[in-house]
Amino acid sequence: MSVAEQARVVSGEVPKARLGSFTAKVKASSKKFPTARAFNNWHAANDVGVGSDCPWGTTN
Amino acid sequence: MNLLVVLHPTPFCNLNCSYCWAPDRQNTSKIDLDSIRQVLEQAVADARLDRLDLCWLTGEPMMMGIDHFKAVVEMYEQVVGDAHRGRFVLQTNGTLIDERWAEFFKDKNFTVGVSIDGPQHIHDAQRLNWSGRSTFDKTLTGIELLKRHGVRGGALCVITKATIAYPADDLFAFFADRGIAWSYLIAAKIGANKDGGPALTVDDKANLTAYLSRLMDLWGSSESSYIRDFDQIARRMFGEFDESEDFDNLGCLDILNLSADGTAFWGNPELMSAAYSSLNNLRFLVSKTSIWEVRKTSPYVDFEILTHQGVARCRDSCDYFETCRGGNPAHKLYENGTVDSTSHLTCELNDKTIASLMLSKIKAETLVA
Repeated sequence: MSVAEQARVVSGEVPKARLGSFTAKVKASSKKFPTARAFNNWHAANDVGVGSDCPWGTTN
Repeated sequence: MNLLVVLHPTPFCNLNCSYCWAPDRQNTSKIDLDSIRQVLEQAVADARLDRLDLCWLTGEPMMMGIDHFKAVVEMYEQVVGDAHRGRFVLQTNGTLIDERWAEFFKDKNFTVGVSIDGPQHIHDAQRLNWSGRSTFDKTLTGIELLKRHGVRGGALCVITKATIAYPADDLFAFFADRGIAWSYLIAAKIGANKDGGPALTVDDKANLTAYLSRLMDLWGSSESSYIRDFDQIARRMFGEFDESEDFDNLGCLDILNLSADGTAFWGNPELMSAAYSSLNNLRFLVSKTSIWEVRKTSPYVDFEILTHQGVARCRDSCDYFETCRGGNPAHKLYENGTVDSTSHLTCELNDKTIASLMLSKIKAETLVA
């Protein structure tokens, strides 16, 4: 089972209300700045810097 | 296809960062606008093109001056326009940003990534100018100008031996306190930095893992924090993510790099040094050869086959493929001697590590719950 599949299985077994804060953060992050299609699979070309929907100031 | 054209408009950079992979950084030659026009015209002439993004990358693109950027944007509007509209993107060291530049970036809807390595004592350990002087204040001023003008973008931080000598809390606080969304790269032995500089090695794995674990805890404890690399894995684990296996995309073969000398090559931009040595046969003059026709030639087709095979090997052999999407061809080439390979040092130090950390933290919470 891949690492991502394990994560989905483990967290999927937990009712939403009982999700730990870290897992909740991960799941919330997964919904932020959805890109219609992955940018080029060049690590600098994803999200911040190149091809970003993420504005300066997001962390505030 | 979505095409990313990466301009390397001059090799010259006003900084001499100790880990930089870009070659020939004191060469002041500049790109000819005709070369850019030829690429844009060839790109839109092919029915395969959906969207065309334009990125300025190495050396320091802002050394070209604002008139260069204005001319290229105007050319893009004429040649590409709304039919294939993508984004204007710049990766810069930020030291040359002033009010005029910030207004221009906002007006033209640029996305600007600024390289800064965190607190001054870390940044100045590796990002000095050619005279050995600090660049920290100018970089931070540039970022503040971009923020004030509402320019989209974020910071790019290189993690080195110097970084992990200090607590991860320092790095996290540096960006969080300033409201800066950021991403990071692990300093690697690639391109012009093939001898290593401050690159991390396998001997640093334990310390780096502890560092990244703490960084992830801090990220996880703040609802609003954004670290590209962690957010990206979260999205690949749980989000809506295009899982189609477009091997050209996964192998960076939909990226066209155009250099100051008017030559181009398809592939990961970090292959630039190799494109002038072992992969020299991938380069072509855009004034003589169509960017599409070159994809039918044997040097390109051979490279494409090897690249696809390398991605397929990752898919078929690695439990981390979903979160990594096939590794980085440049790292594969520089470390393993071929893009038809799988794991490399950055996989081991970072990509697998942060996916495992995220899984283990989810598991730990689940057991507690």
